Amino acid sequence: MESFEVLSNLFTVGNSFSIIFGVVIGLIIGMLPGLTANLGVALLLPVTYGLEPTSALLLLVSVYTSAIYGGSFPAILINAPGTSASAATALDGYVLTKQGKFNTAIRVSTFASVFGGIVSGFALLFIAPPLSMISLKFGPAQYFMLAIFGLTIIGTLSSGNFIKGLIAGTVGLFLSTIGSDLDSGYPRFTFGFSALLSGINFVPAVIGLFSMSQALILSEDPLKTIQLNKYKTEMWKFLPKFIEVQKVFLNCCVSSIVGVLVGILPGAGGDIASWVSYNEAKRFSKNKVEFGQGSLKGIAASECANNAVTGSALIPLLTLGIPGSTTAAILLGALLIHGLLPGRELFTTYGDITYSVIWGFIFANLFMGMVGLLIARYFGKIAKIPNYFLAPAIIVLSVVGSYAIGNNIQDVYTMVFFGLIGYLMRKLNYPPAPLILGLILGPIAETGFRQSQILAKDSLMVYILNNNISLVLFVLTIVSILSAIYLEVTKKTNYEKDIS
Amino acid sequence: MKRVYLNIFVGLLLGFISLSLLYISSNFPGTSKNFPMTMLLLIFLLSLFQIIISIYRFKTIKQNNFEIKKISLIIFCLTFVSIYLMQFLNFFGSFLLFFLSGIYFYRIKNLKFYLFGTLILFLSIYLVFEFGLNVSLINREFLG
Repeated sequence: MESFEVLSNLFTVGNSFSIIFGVVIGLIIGMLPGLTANLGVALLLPVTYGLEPTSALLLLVSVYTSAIYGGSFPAILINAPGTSASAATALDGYVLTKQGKFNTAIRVSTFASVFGGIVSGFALLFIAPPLSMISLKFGPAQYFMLAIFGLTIIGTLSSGNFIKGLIAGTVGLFLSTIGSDLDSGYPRFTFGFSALLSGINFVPAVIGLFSMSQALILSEDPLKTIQLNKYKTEMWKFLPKFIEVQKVFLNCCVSSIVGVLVGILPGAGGDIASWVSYNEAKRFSKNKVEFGQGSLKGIAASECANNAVTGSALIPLLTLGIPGSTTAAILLGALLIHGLLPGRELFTTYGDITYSVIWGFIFANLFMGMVGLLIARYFGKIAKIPNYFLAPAIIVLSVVGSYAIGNNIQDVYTMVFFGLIGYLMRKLNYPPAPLILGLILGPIAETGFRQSQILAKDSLMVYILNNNISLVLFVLTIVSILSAIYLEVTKKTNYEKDIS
Repeated sequence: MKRVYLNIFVGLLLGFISLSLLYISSNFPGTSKNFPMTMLLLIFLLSLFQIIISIYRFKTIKQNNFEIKKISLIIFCLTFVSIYLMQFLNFFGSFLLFFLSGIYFYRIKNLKFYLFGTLILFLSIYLVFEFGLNVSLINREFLG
């Protein structure tokens, strides 16, 4: 694909507006403690129905990356990470704020986030196309194993609770079977409800699980207000200083590599990357004592890594259909809505869309830094929005968003139902991400399963595992399950040790 | 209720539901039953495993009491009622009532901010969805 063609396709009015709107909305969502990138992407998913695929995907990836960056503001200024990925940032950032050096902390976190985001964008640009060649070798057996592997690994890593993650994922796979069977037309688990014949639409389910349930959580503490440190906005100096950049540059290079590698692993999101990167920066630092005492390198390591995840999490998504993070799982839904199937075709037939989105993602990261520094001084006002307004506002947007999918009230009821399920799941420590992934991957897994059944002459298991790719995926699935069991057992042993 | 009891309860509930649905799906024709039956069997086995783990850890897990706040359930019910009322009052009328009832249930004191925020939100929804995306939020015929 010609670079000029991609750039001319990218900078249309619609696409540019998508990036600007996505960055601003993402930053505001990230700045509000309690609101996550998942919520932002889920809420905006229905808005993208009326857009061109390029504009739609640009909007969503811009929200994703800038929400992760926006999370660093409350982490630094009020010690309340806006997203879980910014938890490590608070360790040093808040210390600097208490010392009156919030300017420096924000400038370094902005530079690191933009650096990490751009590196991950280029990683996506260079790694994804050759990796997508593997998808050409995929048949029914491989797709079936891939769906199972993707589900196991995201179920394992997303919550740290292996069994609950697996249960949620399997329930999602089961829910995907509700509706008319595609082969025989037989209504499965509809119990006489004609609305269920077409199956469960995953977009209202996503909105319910991530947005509506979050609004119910926020409702629990409606009068919660944020205690802001007194800092004068007129003192705001937002231009990064050369000496600060020089101090953390090497650190950013290493952390962005860590972030890219962690992001490629399915299920391992920004929070894991930021902690791994923070620990590595501390381990290799000559001055370990400064970490936790307001270290600029600590802030850079955490922020660079969590933004480096955003692009690389899209690599397994675009090439094989395995989301690298929870938000990427929702983005998988967005791809399918616009008729784009992950795999080689995304880089050939739909190359104009895919490359425009990747380049747009890189520009969004650059733009995010500029907008972030400009609106940082208004953080106080944004963070002060109380839960008693946020919660009903999210509910209203969830209702209108799910209704907008097809002007259909059934979708709104589906959203509300999944909102309650999501709320109970959060309360019971069941991760909602595997459920939604199961719902999305279900049809792919079932089609692969049934085609394999037809093609298998002898045993189904022998047919599925009778090729190298399936065998590798099978081994990886077993390894992921065993490692999760090991983690569960060691967690229990450690807990018993703590008690004793 | 303590989380450990709840884990056992949820495990039992999931096990019961999956067994019931397994029975139902066994009557499906041809190959249409294979995949759902496999998934239901998996859910049953995992629920069993969840119960065993919870019993095994009965003594070690004793913190984290489970609590659902009344206000969340009230807001959920209000949402449900508002969706139902959409067919009579249209989206804006119904959810304006939802927002106004929020003043009472959330015990809001800063009414100026709340009402101004509501106005801005509704205006944005109208401009983006009704005007921009042609979503029919006012015409009640579509909301039934």
